[in-house]
Amino acid sequence: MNDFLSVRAIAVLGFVLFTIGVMGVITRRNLIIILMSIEIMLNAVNLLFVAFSRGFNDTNGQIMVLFVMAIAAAESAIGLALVIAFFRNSRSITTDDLQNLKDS
Amino acid sequence: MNRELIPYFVVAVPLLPLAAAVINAILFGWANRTGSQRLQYWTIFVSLTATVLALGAHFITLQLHPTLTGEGTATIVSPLRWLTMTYPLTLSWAIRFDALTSIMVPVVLFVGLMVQIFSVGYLHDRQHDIARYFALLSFFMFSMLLLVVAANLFVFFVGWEAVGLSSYKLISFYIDKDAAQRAGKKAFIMNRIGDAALLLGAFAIFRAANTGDFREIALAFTKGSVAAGYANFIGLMIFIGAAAKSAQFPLYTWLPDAMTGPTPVSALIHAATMVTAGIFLMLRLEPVFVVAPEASQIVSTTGAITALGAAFVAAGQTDIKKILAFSTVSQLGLMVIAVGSGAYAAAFFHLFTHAFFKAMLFLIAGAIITYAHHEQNIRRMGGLIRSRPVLGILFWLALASLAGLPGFSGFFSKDHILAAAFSLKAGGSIIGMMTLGVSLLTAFYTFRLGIVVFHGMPQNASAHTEHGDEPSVSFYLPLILLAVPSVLAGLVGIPAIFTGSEPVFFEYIVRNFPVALNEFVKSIQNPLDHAFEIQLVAAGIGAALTGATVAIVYYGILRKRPVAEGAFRSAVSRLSLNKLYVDEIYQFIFVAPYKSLAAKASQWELRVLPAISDGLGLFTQAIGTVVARLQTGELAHYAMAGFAGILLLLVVAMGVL
Repeated sequence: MNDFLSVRAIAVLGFVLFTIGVMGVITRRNLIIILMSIEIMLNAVNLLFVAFSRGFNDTNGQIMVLFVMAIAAAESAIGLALVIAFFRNSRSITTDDLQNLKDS
Repeated sequence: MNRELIPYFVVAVPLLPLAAAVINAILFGWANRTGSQRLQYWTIFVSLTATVLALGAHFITLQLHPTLTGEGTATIVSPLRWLTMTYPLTLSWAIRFDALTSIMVPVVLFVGLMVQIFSVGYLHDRQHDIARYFALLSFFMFSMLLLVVAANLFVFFVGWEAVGLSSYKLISFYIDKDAAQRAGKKAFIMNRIGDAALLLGAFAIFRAANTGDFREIALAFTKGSVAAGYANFIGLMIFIGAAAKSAQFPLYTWLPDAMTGPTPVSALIHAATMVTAGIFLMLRLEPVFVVAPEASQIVSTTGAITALGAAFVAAGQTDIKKILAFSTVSQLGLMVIAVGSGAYAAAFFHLFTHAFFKAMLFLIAGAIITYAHHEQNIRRMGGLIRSRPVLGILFWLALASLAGLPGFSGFFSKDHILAAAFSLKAGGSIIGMMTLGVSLLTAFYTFRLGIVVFHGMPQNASAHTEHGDEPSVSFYLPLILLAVPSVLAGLVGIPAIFTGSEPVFFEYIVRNFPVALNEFVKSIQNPLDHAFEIQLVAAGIGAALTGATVAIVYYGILRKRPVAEGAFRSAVSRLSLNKLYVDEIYQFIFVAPYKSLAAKASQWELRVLPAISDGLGLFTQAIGTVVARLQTGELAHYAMAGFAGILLLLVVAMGVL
C-alpha cells in the first residue's frame, strides 16, 4: 500500500463526492441533474466500499459494490423512464412543475 | 262444524282486518309507484271483504259457542307466547270470547262496515288517497278489535296504543291541511296523558294481583286481598286513562278538534272504535272499582260534570260536526255516570245504543256536508228536507234516539242511567238532577240542530244544487241499515218497570260479572221504590219533551236563527259558543308556560351547542393551516428534510453506540 493512494485519501474523496451528490439533489432543479447527483452518491459509496475492502483486506465490500451497481442501473433506468413520462405530460423537466399535489 | 274450531274463528276476527290493513299498505305503495287508480279501488274491496269475513267468523263462533251466561263460560285462546319471564310474569297473546266481546265485536264490525261503505262515496273527490285511507281504516278496526278481545292487560294495552296511533293518523288524514295536523297531534298528546296513567294502573294491578289476566284480576280483587287505599289508587289511574280515551273532563278537548278528519272517520271514532275504549276498559276492570268506592264516587262526579258541561256547549255551537262532537262527550259522560254508580250493564247498554245512532248522525252530517260543498256551519243551511226528504227522515230518527224520545233506543238506555244515578247513596240526588238536566239540554240541541238544518228557509242556494255524479247508493245504504238498530236497539233492554222482568240484555251482561258486584251495588246504592221509578220515567220523558218543545217553539215557530259569529250575544250563549273557555284556560296554564320554557331551553341548542361544535372545527382548522405550511411542494425541501433526518439518526446511533 503506497501513501499516494492511501485509504484515508480515497475515503475523503468518497465523502466529498457524496456531499457533492447531496448538494446536487438539494439545490438543482433539473430532474436529469438530480438523477445524475444520485448516481454520484451511489458511486461515492462504491468508492468507499472498495477503499475499505482494500484497507481491511476483506472482499465482501467488493461484492457489495457489484450489487450496488446492479441496483443503480435499474434505478437509473426507472428514474429516466419517469422523467420521460413526466416530460411528455408537462413539456418540462424542472422540479418547479412537480407541485401538482400541493394545496396552493 | 264442531267446537274444536272455535279458537280458529275467535282468532280470525281481529286478524282479518289486520291482514286487510297489511295488504292495503302494500297496495298503497304499489299504487303510488305505478300511479294506478285501479289498485286504489282494489283496497276498498280488500277492506270490505275482511270486515264481512270477520263478521261471519264472529257469528260462526256465536253459533258454535255453548253458552255465555255465568262465570267461567268465556273461551280464552292464547295462540302465541309473547314473553316468558320468571314466575309469575308470563305474557301471551291471549284472546277472550265472552258476553262483553260477543256484543262489542259485532258493533265495532257493523259500524265499521257501514263507515267503509259510506267512505267509498265520501272519498270520490280524493281518489288518489283511497288506498291510504282504507289501509288506515282496517288498521283502526284491527286495533279496536284487539282491545276488545284482549284477555290480559298487556294485549289490551297494545290494542289501546294502536287505537291511539291509528286515530292520530286518521284525524290528520288530510295531510295538506294544517288544522288537521294540529288536531291529530292534540288527540295524540291528550291520549298520552291517559296512557301514562293507564300504565301506572296496569303495573299497580300487576303488583296487587300478580297477573295481567282479566279473569285472575277479578278473582284477586273479589277475594278482598287488596287494600282499599291501593284499590282506590288503581281505580283512579284506570279512570284517568279511560277519561283521556273516552273524552271526559278535563281531558276531552281533543275530541271536538278531531272533527278536522274525514267525517266517516269521525263517525267511527265517535261510535264504535275510539271513545268507547275507555268505557270498555272500565267495564273490563269492573272488579277493581267494586273494591274502590271512593274512586267510583270520583268517576260518577266527573261523568256528571262532563255530561252537563258538554251538553251546554253543544247547545251553543254553530258547526254541525262540533254539535255532534260535544253531544258525544256528553253521552260518554252519561256512560261514565253509570259506571261510577255501579250500573255497568246500563253503561254498556248506552254504549251499545249510542254507537248506532251516533254513527248514523255523523254519516248523515257527512252527506249533508258533501251536498253543501263542504259547508259545515248550520247558519248557512236550512230547508234541506225539501230537496233531501229521505235524508231528513233518517236524520230525525237518529236525533229522536239521541234526544231520548219515548220508544226510541236512547230513551231506554238513558232511563237505566237515570235510575242508577238517583239511587246513589252519596250525592245521588245531585248527580241525578244533573243527568235530568243533560236529558233536557240534549233534547234541546238535537231539535235545534234538526230544525235549523232541515226546516225553515234555504239559506244558501248552492247547498241545493243538484249534481249528476253525486254518490247516493254508498250514502243511503249504510244509513238505512244503521237506522234499524238506531231505532230498535233499545228493545233488548227495556227497563224492568215496563215489562216486569229483568231485560234480556242485562241478564246476559250482568251474569258475566263476578258475583261480588251485587254486594257492591248494595253498598253504594239505595234501592228505589216502584213509585219513584215511575216518577223517574215520567221525569225523563218530561225533560226530553221540555227541551224539544223549547227548541221547536224558538227555532221552529218563532223562526229564530242561530246568531252570527260576530253578533252581540248574552253572557250565557257566549260561554256556550266558546266552549266554556276550557281551551283558552289550557292554553294559558299549560301550553304557554311550556312554550316559553321550550323557547328558553332552545337557547342551549341555538347558542351553546353550536359554539362547542363550531369551536372544535375552527381549532382543528387553525392547526391544519399552521401545519400545512410545512408542505411547500418544493422537492429540495423534502430532500433536505430527508437528509437532515438521516444525519440526525446517524448522530443518535453514534451517541448511543
